[in-house]
Amino acid sequence: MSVLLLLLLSVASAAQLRLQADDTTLVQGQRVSVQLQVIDGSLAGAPSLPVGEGLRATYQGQSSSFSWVNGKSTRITAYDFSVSGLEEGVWTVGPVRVQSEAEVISSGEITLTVGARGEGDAAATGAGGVVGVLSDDRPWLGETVLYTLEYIHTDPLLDVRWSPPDYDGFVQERVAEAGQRRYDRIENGVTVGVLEIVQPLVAVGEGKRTVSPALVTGVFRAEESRRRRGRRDLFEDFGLTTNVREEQLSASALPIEIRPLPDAGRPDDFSGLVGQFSLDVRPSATQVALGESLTLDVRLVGTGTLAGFELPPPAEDPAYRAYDDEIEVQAQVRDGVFRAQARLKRAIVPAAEGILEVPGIALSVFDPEAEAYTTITSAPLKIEVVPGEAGASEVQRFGDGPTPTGNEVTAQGDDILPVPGAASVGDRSLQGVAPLAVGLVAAPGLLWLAVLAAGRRRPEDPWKPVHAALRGLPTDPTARLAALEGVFREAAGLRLSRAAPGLDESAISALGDVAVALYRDLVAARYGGAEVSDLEARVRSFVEGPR
Amino acid sequence: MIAVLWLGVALAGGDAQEQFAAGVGSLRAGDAPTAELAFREALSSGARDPAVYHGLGNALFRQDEVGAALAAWRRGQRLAPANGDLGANIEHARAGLEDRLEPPAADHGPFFWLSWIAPGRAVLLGALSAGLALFLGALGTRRRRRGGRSRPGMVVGLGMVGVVLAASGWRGASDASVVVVDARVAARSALGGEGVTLFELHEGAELRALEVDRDHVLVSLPDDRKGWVPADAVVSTDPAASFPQTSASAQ
Repeated sequence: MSVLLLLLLSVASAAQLRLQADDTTLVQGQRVSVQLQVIDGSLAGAPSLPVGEGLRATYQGQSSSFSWVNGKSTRITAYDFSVSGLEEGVWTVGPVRVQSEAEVISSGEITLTVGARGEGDAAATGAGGVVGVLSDDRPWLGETVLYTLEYIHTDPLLDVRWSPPDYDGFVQERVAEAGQRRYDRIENGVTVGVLEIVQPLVAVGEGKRTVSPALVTGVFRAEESRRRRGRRDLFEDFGLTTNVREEQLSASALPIEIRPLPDAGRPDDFSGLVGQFSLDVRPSATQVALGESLTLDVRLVGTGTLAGFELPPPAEDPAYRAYDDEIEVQAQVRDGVFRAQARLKRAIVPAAEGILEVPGIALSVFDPEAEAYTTITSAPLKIEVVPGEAGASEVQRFGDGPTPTGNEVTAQGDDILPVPGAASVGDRSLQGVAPLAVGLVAAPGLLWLAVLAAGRRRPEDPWKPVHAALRGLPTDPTARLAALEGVFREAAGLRLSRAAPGLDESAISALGDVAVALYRDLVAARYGGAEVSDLEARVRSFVEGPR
Repeated sequence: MIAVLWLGVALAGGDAQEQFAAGVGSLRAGDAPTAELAFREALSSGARDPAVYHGLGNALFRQDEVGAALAAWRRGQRLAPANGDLGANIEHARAGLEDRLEPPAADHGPFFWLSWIAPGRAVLLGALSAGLALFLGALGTRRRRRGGRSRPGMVVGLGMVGVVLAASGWRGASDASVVVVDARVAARSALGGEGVTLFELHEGAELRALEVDRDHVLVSLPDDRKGWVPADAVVSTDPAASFPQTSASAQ
């Protein structure tokens, strides 16, 4: 039976808002369609539908339609919601107040009555029931708990969908995914199917909270008359169609209390981890050569979340240096237990030969079972450092002093760079350097021109080398005699305007008897061995004589 | 002669050095307007120097004149292409610009060394090389007169190096680009009332200048779009040009 409720409130305004439901009575787990109609108006987006605590509304979509009655057009935009009954009682839907264009319009409200599901109802529909439980209803702040939802059904399940509850006071664990498994079990002699969903949660808000009911929608094969089923089976055999029915069930709301971690006994170096953990450190080798490194495999395993965990850096130790890799965190739910593991590789570089003692890693955590802070530690390690290659130790050192400590200088701002105040300024532009450039070219250019001009203006005196040769006669008699002949020939050549080497007695005769006599005496003295005493004076007289 | 030229340059630069020092002092005292005036006077005294343009850019930047500051730093960078501080300041200012435009790439042609050597310095090196060639030529002439041997190959080689370096300096100095100094300027398709607004540019946009016509400059974007903008809305990055008073600094 379908009952239509029509509530029309905003009569005066042009835009109107209507709220209507297919039915006003339902049982726990049942759904009803609720539609919000905007008549001759428009909304900026899909509106939210306020419902009572025992109901849950899910937006389905929107549609639009136009109608034309008595010359007047009407535009209707419909927003569809699916409202599920979660808890027994009388609950209201609406009113809805929205902004439509320039005005605020509102609808009336609908009252829905949710009745208790009868014991036979679930069995009759094939859906047995839903149970939601938390592994700890009084968890500590930061503790990881499991929300387990059990969906029991008697009929074969075709499909299932679930809407998780609002985990008030919790967040979903970031690393692990929700686990899901299906199995059969016998209850009161009847085999039922069980779908189990496990979601790990981390408590983040102190105080009393309520985890709202989760909704599970089971999809089953619908029962039909044999005649209809016979026709339909033909299509189903080809995978063309399936006649199904959906049944929705909700789990109960869960009141919980999240306890704050105690202040008493909280260590200063508390890591923030809540759970039971164990720490294991294994070296890649027990012996290493100086200048080489070894790796520590650090594993932290526990029942609490490790998302975002960072291992504290090792204390500064001049005996070695340590470098950490990125930490890897894994988590999963197996057999109803949450387990997380953080794995880190730490490289150790010894600084000296001998026995290197690497202290164990200590981590302060809160144990929910013991309700107290505890410190977990790994065993210290002893590494034998043997001599390495020559010079390896020097390479590992930064100097004669202790190993440098301190942090990298980090940038805290950005700005323009200042002007160098000690700069010597001048004109560095092309125009500025042009006079100097011209000078650099012009000065040697002028010098060259001057050399060229000087060469043309003052031709060299051809007698100059002759006089120079006469002034620099060698002291050796033979060489002196040869030089004298050369001077005579050059002087004769200049006077005859002929080349000196080609002169002979007939050519020289043009210069007169004195010159011929001198020529003969020079030749006789040089090649015939004659002793002529005044040759040098006669040559000087010939050179100095009239040109 | 060279000594006389050097002496002239040194005497002219005396006032500029004082103005520069005054500008640096004002800037360090946080008085950017006074620093700007001092750096402008240093420029007027002939100190077209990277450090002066650096200081002028800093003074303008402190007065929120990002476009003018960019123009000053670009001028300094053209005088000292390898100056990392100027490059860092330009990058810092460009990070806050409204227009995402690549600055016009310097067109050096085959003269790759202009990425590290300023045009003025290239010309100076070219002149030095050519001068050395002339000097060796003079020596060779004199030596030949006296019967010695000259080295014409070295003279020709040095002379060619000098010519190429001088030509590269000339090419580098002729590169023309401008920076928008107004908060917003419209680039129009034509001068006068017939044109339409093609695109809008904002302060700090760096553009290639193609042509100057009276009071307007034809600029081009990296995607080859072109438009006319008012000449007083942009400042040239040519370090030899006078640095105009922008509308903001004039107030």
